Amino acid sequence: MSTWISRLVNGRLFVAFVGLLLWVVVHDRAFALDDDKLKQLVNQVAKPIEFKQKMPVKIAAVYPGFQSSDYWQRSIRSLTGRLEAIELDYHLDVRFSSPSDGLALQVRQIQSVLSKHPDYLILTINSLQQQRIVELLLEREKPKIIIQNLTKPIDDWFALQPLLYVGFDHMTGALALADYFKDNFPAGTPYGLLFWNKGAVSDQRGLTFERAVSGFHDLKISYFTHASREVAKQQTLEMVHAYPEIRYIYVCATDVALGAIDALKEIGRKDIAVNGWGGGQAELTAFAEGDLGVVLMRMNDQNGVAIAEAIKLDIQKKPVPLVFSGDFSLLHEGTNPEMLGRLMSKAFIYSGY
Amino acid sequence: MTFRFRTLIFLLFLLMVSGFLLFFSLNAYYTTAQILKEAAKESLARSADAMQHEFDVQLRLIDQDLHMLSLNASLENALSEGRRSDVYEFVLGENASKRQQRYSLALIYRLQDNQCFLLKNPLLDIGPVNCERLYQKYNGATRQEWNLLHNGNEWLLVKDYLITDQNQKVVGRLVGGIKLSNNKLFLNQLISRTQSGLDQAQLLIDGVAITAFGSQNVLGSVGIGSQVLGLNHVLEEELKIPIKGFGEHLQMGLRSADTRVYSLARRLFVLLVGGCMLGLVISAIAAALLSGALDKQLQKLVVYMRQLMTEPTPKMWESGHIDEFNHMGKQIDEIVAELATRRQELKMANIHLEKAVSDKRVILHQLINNQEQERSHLAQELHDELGQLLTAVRVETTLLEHQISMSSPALKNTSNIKELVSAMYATVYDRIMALRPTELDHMGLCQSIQQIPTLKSLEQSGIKVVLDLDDVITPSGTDIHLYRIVQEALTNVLKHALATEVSISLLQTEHEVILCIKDNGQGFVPDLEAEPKGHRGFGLLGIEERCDFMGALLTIKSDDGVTMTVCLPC
Repeated sequence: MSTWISRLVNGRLFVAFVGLLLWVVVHDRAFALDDDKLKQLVNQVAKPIEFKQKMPVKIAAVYPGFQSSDYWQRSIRSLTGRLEAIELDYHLDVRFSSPSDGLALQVRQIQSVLSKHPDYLILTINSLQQQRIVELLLEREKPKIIIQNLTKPIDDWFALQPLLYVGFDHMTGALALADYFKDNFPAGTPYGLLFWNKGAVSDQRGLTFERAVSGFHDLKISYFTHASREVAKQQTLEMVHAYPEIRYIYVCATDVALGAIDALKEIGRKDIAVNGWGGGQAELTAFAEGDLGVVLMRMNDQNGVAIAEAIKLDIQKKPVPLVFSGDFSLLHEGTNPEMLGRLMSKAFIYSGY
Repeated sequence: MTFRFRTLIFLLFLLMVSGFLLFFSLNAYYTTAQILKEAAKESLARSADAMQHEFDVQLRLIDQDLHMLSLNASLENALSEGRRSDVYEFVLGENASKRQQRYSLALIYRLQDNQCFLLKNPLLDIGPVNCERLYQKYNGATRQEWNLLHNGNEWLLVKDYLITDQNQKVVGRLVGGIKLSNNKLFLNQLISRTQSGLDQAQLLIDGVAITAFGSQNVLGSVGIGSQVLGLNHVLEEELKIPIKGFGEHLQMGLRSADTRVYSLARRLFVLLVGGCMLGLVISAIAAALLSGALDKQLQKLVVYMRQLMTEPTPKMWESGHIDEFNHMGKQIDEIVAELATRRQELKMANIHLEKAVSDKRVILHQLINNQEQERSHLAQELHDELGQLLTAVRVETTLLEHQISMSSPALKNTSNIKELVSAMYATVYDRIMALRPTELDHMGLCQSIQQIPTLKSLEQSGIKVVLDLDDVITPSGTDIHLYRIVQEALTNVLKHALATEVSISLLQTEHEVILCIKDNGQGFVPDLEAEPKGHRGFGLLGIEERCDFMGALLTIKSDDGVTMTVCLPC
């Protein structure tokens, strides 16, 4: 025994001691997960879970999914696709509404899904009233809240935050489009602006753009469209009638873009450029047909993948970054079909195209 | 358990560095912790004041929202029409108002027909939702501007406002406010807006918490290293203050868990670990250098000592860089020189001694030889001269006897002379035999041994004598020594052995003559190196010398008697 101790002390002590100290120093921070690591997880090939799941995880989503944009439907498909890819047993309860539907419907839908005691509830916030609703839900221990389509944490909640803010940063997208229009239209170009409905989305997408091109391009007129393709069409007609000299119309959403295209086709003004915002199937089709000059394309399925990976991390009681913001790409006249194909395969990896 | 020198040096240095760092870290930690504790108390008191102020501000903002709502003509219109959906849309709807809606519930009571509208988000649980009862309960609880209302399990903080028509006639009453119980967001906002260093806050009514916000375990992720060292302390301070305007009824409970001391502990722990690592490196280098130098000197010393033992003329110690080793080397050199001198002296003394012993032995051998020669010569002289004379006397006496007549009395004298001469002859013969047994010259050793007079004495003493004697051929001049050895041995048996039997054997092999005398007496412990006294008398010494003189091997065993064996090469 003493011989063994002597050997250990004489021969292995130094190495053992250094190893112990290094372990102690790096131990606490070795497995911390930051935003970049979640992004890496999202971009990686799905890895099946390595823990035993006692029961299916119950996920509920209350979405304004009835829109021309397929963003919300694709989010669901990418979420389920990723959950299956990582072999996480789940039960998903999805309720769709239209952005124009009143809050009462969303509240009823939330009440309905809450009656089934979900583990995670995915919501979106576009108005103060929706924020108030989420505040009431944050009070509860369960379900854990995931806010989609908002990547700027709500300051007023301070430390009482949801599990995850996930989406594509509206301001980043708006700035990318502003750069495009500034590069492709000369100074002083008159333009019109069509918001979505009143709320955070319109503020972040529309006002950010307006501020970015302010002083360089000339905003002639702007409208809120109540998230309606038909309203957007009518307001585009009024806009062009009042200011026929405008060279492009900046729109904040797919419905609005499609309404603007409808109006411009009707009056035969193909010289006025319109952008797409999101890069869903409807916008890609319009882009392919030449109706949209530029499309801000979200790598759509990163949404659902990030939610699935965050849930996986949370189940394992690992830290989850507060915000995940997906990637954008800009489609324009220089984008060739091959490049478009690659982007689509990346953006719609689970939702298909 | 043994350690290498470098290990000991390494452990010693490491212990010193680690001990110093540990002392320094713990001292700094506990001193700073005390200072932080005082600071934490002050900070908590300031936080309490700020929270109280923010609570008042929030109530004023809610009050403004509700006040503006009560003054809005649209509300009176909607109320007069009595449509709940219109009233709800105006109070809580998303499109009808620009207000922040900091309130979360509103109760509107129309005085005209006692119609009651309770307006709140369906997801908000405020307890029983019977509007009239709630209104009555509020009326019963009204004490001041803002009132606490206990509704079921929930506590509400509400205030009432009057609704008037265009003629300033009071047509209704608005009771609005917030839910106070289980309102984590409200507490969270109070804490965060005041930027208080709080980790937990509670609202208490009569000492019972109705809502709480904050982390219970701020050190959930404490590393195991810090836990082991006991550096996971948190300076926890608690304070309960009554909220102004509500007496002691409504209280705010604040708790700060200052983790700065924990951060300090972590940093000191990292310092300690880093210092230990540095100490580790320093210790390793010091141990390597010191043990390397010492090992080198020790190896040199070992090699030097080995040279001293093996080489006839070893070199002197070569001086190195370590004084102690140089001193040690000089000491060894001096000791070695002294030893060499002593050894030389001893060697010379030994040579002298050996020469003296050798000389003495030569003299002794010469003496033995001379003695035998002298004895032989004397025996011969006695035999040749005295024997002849006695024979002549006897012949003369006989002649004289023939000349004397038979009756002469002188005849008797002559007869006596003849008897005396015979006796003298017998005595002389015995002396001759004692000096030099004549049988040796005529009959050989075998017969001579049988004629040893001591044999008769042994038999007369009752000791059985067994003889097994062969005729042997011995080297010239050695038979007398063998004879004397037997003679001396038998004398010893007779004198000392107390034996009942003694045997003598003499035999010859191809290369040697073996003489063995064995008795069954009391034996003795032979000590060939002892002085000649006691059991090792002069007789035994004579035996040894004779053997040595002959070049024979003497073996004496004392085991159930004494066995003496002489092996004489031939």
